[in-house]
Amino acid sequence: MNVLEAEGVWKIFGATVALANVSLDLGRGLHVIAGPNGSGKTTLLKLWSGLLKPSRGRVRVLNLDPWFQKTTLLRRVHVVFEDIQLPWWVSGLDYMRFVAASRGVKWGDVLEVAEALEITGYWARLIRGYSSGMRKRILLAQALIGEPEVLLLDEPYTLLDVKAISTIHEIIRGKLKGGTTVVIATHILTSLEDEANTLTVLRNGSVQKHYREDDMKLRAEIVCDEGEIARSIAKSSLDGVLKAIVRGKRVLLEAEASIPVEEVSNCKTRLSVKELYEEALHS
Amino acid sequence: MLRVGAPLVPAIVLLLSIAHLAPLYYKTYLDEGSGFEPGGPHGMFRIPEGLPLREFKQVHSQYMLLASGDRVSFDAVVAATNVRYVWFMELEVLDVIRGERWNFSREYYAPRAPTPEFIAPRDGLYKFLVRVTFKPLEDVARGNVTVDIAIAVSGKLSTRSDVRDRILMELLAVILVVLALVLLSRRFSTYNPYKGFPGLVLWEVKSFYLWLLAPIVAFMYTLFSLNTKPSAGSPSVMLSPVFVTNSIEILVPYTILVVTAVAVVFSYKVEGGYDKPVDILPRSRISVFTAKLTSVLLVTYVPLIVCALNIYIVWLDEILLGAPLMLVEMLGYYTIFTLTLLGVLIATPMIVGSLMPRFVPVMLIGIMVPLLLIIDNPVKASLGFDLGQAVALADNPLIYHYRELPVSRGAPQAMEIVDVSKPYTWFITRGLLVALVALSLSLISHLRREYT
Repeated sequence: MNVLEAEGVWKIFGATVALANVSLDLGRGLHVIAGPNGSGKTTLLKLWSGLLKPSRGRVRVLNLDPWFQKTTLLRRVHVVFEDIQLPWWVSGLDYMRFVAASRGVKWGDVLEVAEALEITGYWARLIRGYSSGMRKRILLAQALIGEPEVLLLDEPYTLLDVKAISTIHEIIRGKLKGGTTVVIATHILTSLEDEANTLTVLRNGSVQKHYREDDMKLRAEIVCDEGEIARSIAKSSLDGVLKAIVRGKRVLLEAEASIPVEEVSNCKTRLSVKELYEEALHS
Repeated sequence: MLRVGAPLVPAIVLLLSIAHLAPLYYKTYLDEGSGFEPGGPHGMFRIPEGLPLREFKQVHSQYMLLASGDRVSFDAVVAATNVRYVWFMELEVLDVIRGERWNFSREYYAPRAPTPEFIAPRDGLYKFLVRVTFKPLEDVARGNVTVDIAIAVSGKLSTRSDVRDRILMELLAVILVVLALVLLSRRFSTYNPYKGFPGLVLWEVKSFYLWLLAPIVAFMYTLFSLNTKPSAGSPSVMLSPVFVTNSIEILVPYTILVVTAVAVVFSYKVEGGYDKPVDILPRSRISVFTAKLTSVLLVTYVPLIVCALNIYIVWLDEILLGAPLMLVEMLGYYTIFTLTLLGVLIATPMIVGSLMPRFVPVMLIGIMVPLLLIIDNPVKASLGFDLGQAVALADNPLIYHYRELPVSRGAPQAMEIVDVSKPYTWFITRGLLVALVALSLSLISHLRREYT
């Protein structure tokens, strides 16, 4: 079942074409939308959030029309965008209470996320005194509370320190286990993105490359301890394994899509979304 | 544990401002021997073609808070051309709280004659009803007669020794209310106030922050001092909020206050992107718009009503026990009029904001247009419209008095209806139309606006 759909979508702002004939279907799981600045990532997420109306084409999320059913949609879809300005005249605590009341989220859930993101230490102060990173954590917290069916995160890592990024990863992994579909639009690719089910690369408002789940498996690396390398190479002669390349402590297996790579050895599979992204950009 | 200190702060500031106004109350109203200048309604009637010449009346009524020994006198001048006439003066005084009545009735033949002075026998709220009736003693040619009736109200206030006690009690009451609020805020400290539509309104009201509270308090101060200080335009400490907008000193700051509130909510927040945190939440576009509008009405209307109620505070217990309906009646009239006035004042900034949501142009144009129509004579003359005058005429208590015409007089005459209620009806209908157009434009713009 498709959770997010875009069918021949165009979005034009005056003389600027932000999206040009984008078609994309995403199911459950973790999805990464990558692309350079101005490629249309944020615009696509805003269309899926009901914040923008497509100039042409059709978008659907959870089988709802985002523009006309925005209120219903946003009860099930939590979003965060980089350009959200928190009002400086209220406190972060006030904003979180407003969000909790709007979405009907229990305060205990809010506190859990707030404590994990370490915002409770400063959230009673007015927002005008916050640093950019502090504001960013408040914004992420509002999206991560509760139990959304879909999470749309636009550039979630900018302005955050390493520890905060790690916390965000933990929370998102928890949401994924709980069945939430997560879409991350970013040009900063971290370890979480390597676990993605799909990768979509946008460029100049068009889909440059879309890697489906099977495509991603094909491009997986297998990382082993030193002792495992020989075994890995030996097992690379299994049916379906086409080629084994040793790179330092790594063995790269090129295999058919159907091979469950984890079973080839005790090694761990690793997908480098970053490499895929760069490859797509230069293709 | 949540802390709900922030919403309490404006409430305390508001209450303290009222406490601050109490000494002013004493000074302006109860200072020893202060008097007030003559003032009151003035009406001129030309007898149009097709109407028989018969009696005409000028009616004036007003409420006054008086202390024992305060003196109020009503002086009438009745002049008419080309006709011999007689005129009658009827004065009816009602102690609203106790129900006691005094009546005076007399006929005069000279244009001006000694008229009665009322000396308040005790502290209380008094209602004065003055009727001056003109009656010709001969038939005259139609269209050739002009009748001029003027009623002047003046008086002198006495010194009161127990007033200080009342003021102290009022201050004590304010302190008790503040303490009660503090205790309540602790009791409900885990309550989330942002639930539902009221929560959305609260969120929008918070947009004004404390920097808008200062002009509001300043406005209240102006309003209060003008409304309670005896003057020609407002000849007594009037319980009724009528005449409030008759004064340009009030209308101009009020316009600035209203335009600022609209510009903050409908332009500043849009321009600065401060609406986006709400856009990403499951709140419908129409409820957000309604909440914004409600917040503007609250912020601009509450100062007026608080000021009006502040005058009632000293006698609040007696009014509630003795004449609760009067409070409701006056507030009803006041609400309709002020809401229309608000609609007129928010029209310009809302239209500009819907076309171009930029704070500075909205503020400039939003203030400039009504101000030109209030104070700039060449503009008023060239457009043939004076906003200040239209407001003043519509805010005339005569509309209130009209409803009090005694039944025994029979059905009202056509001329009287035109003379008395036309400016009010004109202002309410036109004002509401202008407001409706502005609101529709703004709503359409809001519903179509994308989050870019």
